Amino acid sequence: MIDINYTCSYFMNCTETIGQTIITGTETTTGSLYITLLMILVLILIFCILFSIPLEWIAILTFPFVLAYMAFYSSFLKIGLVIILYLAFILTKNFLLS
Amino acid sequence: MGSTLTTAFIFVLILNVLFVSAQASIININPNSNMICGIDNTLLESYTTGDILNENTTIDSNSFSSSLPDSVADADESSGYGFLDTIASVKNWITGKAEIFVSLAAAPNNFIRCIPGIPNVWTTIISAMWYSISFFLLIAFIFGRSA
Repeated sequence: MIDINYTCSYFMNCTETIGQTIITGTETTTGSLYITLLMILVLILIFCILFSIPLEWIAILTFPFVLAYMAFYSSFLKIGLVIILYLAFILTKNFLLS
Repeated sequence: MGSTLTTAFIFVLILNVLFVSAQASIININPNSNMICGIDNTLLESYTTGDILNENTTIDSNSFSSSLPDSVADADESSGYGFLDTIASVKNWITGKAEIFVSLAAAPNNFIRCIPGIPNVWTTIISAMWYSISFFLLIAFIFGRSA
């Protein structure tokens, strides 16, 4: 379950609409905040795929989300590792060789 | 440009820079995160404030870095003979300042060893492979080899 003191004081603001939505969604639907944040990422990914946004743009636009998740929940470090590797590949291929 | 080895060398450098900046960003967002464990003996060491040994540090991104090479080094005057002192001064300068490239090449090691759940043996193996590949690509780049 959620550690309310930790998340509400360090990670996000729990008093407004989006904060309350995330917290009640976590308590009723999923069991842990990790899965809720992962679902947010997956929903953004599905939205971008529906609108045919290229994978490079998805990686660049979702990287700040994953960076903030990595700072507070260590389970996201492996996902962030994959995104950093892919970003290095994109930067090498497109900006320094052509 | 189209050489494979040059591409790989640039990829290695960019990946090292991305790991260092990701680590600095994570520590800046949350000073109690996991990434604090990999901050000693790295490029970020000169930006830390607080106590490194007790892992109670934050990163001050605007402080002046002392890890880049400065212009003039002191001459080594230990033996009194010009030839030996010249060689010793040059060697000390090179080994002291080549530490920058070693710290940069150590960036993936310091990132990956802080991830919980990855066994230490694997991080050691990956880091050893990374150092070897970086060294090999640097030598190939210096001698002008292309794949």
